[in-house]
Amino acid sequence: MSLTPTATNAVDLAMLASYEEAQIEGEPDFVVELIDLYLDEVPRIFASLQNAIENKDCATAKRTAHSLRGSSGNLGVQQIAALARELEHLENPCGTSARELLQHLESEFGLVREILTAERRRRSS
Amino acid sequence: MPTNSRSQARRILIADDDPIIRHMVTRFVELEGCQPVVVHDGGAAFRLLQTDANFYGAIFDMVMPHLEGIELMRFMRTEKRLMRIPVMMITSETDLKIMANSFAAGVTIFLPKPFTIEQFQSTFRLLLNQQPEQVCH
Repeated sequence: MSLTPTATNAVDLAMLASYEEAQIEGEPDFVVELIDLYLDEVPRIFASLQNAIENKDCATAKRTAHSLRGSSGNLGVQQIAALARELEHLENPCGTSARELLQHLESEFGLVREILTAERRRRSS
Repeated sequence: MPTNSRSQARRILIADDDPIIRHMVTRFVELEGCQPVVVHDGGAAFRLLQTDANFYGAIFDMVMPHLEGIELMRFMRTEKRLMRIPVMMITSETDLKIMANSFAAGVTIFLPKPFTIEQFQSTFRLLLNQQPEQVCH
């Protein structure tokens, strides 16, 4: 897969690779484990955000966006972290702007999933 | 790799609702030779601490469902058997007032997100410096 400039901005692969340092011999690939956890977790977070926005549960929407920001930032998924931050700090984190940001997040995640899946494949081969 | 057996390792309580950060922190604590004891939110940490005070240190996420890190902290500082356990708070908050309130509640040290392995190690070692014996093994 050739990465476009947008794609390389979406995920800081060097940051992800820095976790190779935490690999324990004989244990499953630690970076692959992190990728798998992230790819499993983000759709669940989006569902929770969607639910919170629909139910006007602003506290949950804010907390969920905060959580997404933290894990994305730590994995080097910078665009998602930035969008999640924007949603978290909205005056009304369960209003129309939040709904739009969630759509933007979902679209961005499509690209991130491609990059992380390619990285996972590379590491598993 | 830890050089000591798990049964001899010092126990570190980890409470974080985020599975990715939890997985990272658990591994980093293992690499420091400590035994992670992992719970998924503040409520579970609170229940565990009611009956178990045998922790060399604790690492909490600031924002968790059910019971936030700072509330957990306030509880620990009112219990004689828990008050000496040093606590690292992981947070993406940058609000100085929140940080000040957390220190006032008894947080020993902060680790801001995002963090690298090296930043975790340095902060963790500073946390353990609060104990008479400064390493896990």
